[in-house]
Amino acid sequence: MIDDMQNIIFGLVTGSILAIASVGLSMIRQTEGFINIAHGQLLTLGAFLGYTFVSALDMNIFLAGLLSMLLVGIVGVVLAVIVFRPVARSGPLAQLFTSIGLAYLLFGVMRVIFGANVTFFPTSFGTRLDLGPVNVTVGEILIVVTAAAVVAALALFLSQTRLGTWIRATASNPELARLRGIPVNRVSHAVWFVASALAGLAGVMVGLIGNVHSELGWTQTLIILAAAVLGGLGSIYGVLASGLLLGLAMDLSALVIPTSYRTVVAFGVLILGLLLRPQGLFVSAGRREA
Amino acid sequence: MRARLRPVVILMVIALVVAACGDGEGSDTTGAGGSTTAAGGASTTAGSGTTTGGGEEGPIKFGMLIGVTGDYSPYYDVSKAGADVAIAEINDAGGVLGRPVELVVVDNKSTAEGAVQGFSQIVDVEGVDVLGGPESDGAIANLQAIKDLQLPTICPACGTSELDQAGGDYIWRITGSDSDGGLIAAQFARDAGYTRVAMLVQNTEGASAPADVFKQVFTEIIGGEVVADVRFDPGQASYQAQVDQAFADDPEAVYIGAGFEAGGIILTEWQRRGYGGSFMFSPDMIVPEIAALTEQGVEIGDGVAKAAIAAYDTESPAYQSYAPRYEAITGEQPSPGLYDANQYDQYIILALAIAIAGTTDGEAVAAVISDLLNPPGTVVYSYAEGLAAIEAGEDIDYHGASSSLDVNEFGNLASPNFGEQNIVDGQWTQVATVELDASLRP
Repeated sequence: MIDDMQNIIFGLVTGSILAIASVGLSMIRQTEGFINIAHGQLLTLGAFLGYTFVSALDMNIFLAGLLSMLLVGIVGVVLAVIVFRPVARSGPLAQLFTSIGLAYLLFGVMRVIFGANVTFFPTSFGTRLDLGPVNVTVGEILIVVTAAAVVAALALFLSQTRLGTWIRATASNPELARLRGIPVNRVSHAVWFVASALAGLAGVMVGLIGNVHSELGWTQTLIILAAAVLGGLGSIYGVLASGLLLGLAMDLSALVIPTSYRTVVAFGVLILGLLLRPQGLFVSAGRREA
Repeated sequence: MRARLRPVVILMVIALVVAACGDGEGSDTTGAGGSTTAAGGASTTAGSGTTTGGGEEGPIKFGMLIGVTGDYSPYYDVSKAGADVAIAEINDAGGVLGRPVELVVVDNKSTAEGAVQGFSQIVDVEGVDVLGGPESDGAIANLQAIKDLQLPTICPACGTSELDQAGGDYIWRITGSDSDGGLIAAQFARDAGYTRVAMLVQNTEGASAPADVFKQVFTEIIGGEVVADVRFDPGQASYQAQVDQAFADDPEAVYIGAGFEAGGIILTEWQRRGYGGSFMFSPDMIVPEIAALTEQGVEIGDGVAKAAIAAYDTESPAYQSYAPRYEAITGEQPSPGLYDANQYDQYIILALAIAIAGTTDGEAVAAVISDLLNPPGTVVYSYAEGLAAIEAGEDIDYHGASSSLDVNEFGNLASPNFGEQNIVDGQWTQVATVELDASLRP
């Protein structure tokens, strides 16, 4: 039982990061109509920027994380304008393959700028706190709390602001939104900024609990896609929930099967979920993608 | 039904694309700089059964198939420096068979897949005459092709136990075997009085093989108990659950068999949660990145973590000649944990072998390698000394900068030296020479 609770904490940390990393992918899918394979590279960029700010500029980790989010968000908007918008008329497939090419480009550029070596954040993030039978580190608490705060802020943004309403309307029916006078370009910029910034934040989080290297985006992309597809690509909240679910499933599975099958568990859950609910676990059948 | 399957099909297609993206960088060729930059050349088709080679004119091409990127990337710069010292020494002595020597470097991405791609490039495109540099995974991945192509190959840093009885014809290993590495780790545990240890081992051939030897020796011969044997796949963002499993039964020490990418994460998580205890590391963890963790508060210095790797014979004239030249390039002293002297030795050996054979023909070159490493013969400590002895019609016995390099029938070092490595002041430091206890051999 104690092991169960400890692994739930591990799963919450893993799931929180996965949820933050996946939700941006879902937002782009919903409003822009394609799966952005370069999303993982934006995560890598966030990790590298955060690491650089902390290690080279001795910046506070929270400030470094915030600045990384902002910069990666801006990079996302710039990429949308100069790379994705020109090919948008060619359809989602062209955008999908453009994103693959862009992923390679970003990977190469980052390798030139930041190098191929593996590095570790210098921030120790404190030691563990014993909470009865389980323990947790300050850093893990901050990651879960930050993820929860981001989710809450995102929910408020989407439901309580005019821009958020426009985003939901555009995601639901882009043509109708255009006809109703919603400034779709502005909506697009906002979505790219938020989605990319969240990828950047997830990158900083991954770097903090793990390490930072140029392959980070490639290693994370599949599991991010799994969370996004499991939750239903059309459901932001579904993707958040599935990210948590996959994180918990992977870390709780360690209690019953060897940990070398951790990734297998994640994709097993995904395949099972899709067989049972092909539209995604958290999307109603009526909203199923065409 | 089609609609139900569509998301699965889409996901599988994307998964294939992403997987390909992650592995598709293997054709990255790195010029060796200056006169040693790759320049293409003649080649034969892999698998044709014919000898490879750069032809009979122009520079003789020495291949270096090595991890420029990936897990082994921290070794690259120093490995290249060691190789450069050898190439310069050979060319300064007039080259081989009157031809200059050129170093051709190809990245194997520190993976078996990258090694196979890189091997194809370095053989088919670059047309190298001999090959050095590969690590365990890459050497095993290309073992059959090396034999089929009769390509004389030396492994300067591959400890894989699969080479324990596989070489001696076209492939030689001039460092200790992982089998001995696992045995020494068990010896550390025995000498420290540990009776209960746990294991955290990466699911790769290079990490699993010595871990299995460690487990066998520690449990069956020493009589200790392995309280947890946790295996994991590399490439994950976190290993918290695995670390927690390893420390769940309060082991006195933990054996970590991993690349530094996963190993570094494991150690930072160990520090955050304050599990305590001591470590025995596999040789792949003896890299600056792991040592540098002590400067970030990870308390693995001063003997908390021990590891063993092949130790250099610092009294050897070959080492004493090599060391200052290496230091002039890198600003650092040679480090056994980085295999730089082994990288140097491999090219001196290959150059001497070609000089003895009088040809770059792979079969002829391979036929003389074991002889030039073993007595009898005039002991030589450099390429120039060896060349002079060869020209004088003498048999030679090359003693290298890394060790005396005597090999057995399978092309493995007969008596490898090992050094105990601790982290002292943020750097891996050899604190003692380890003599293998032969009674521990399974």
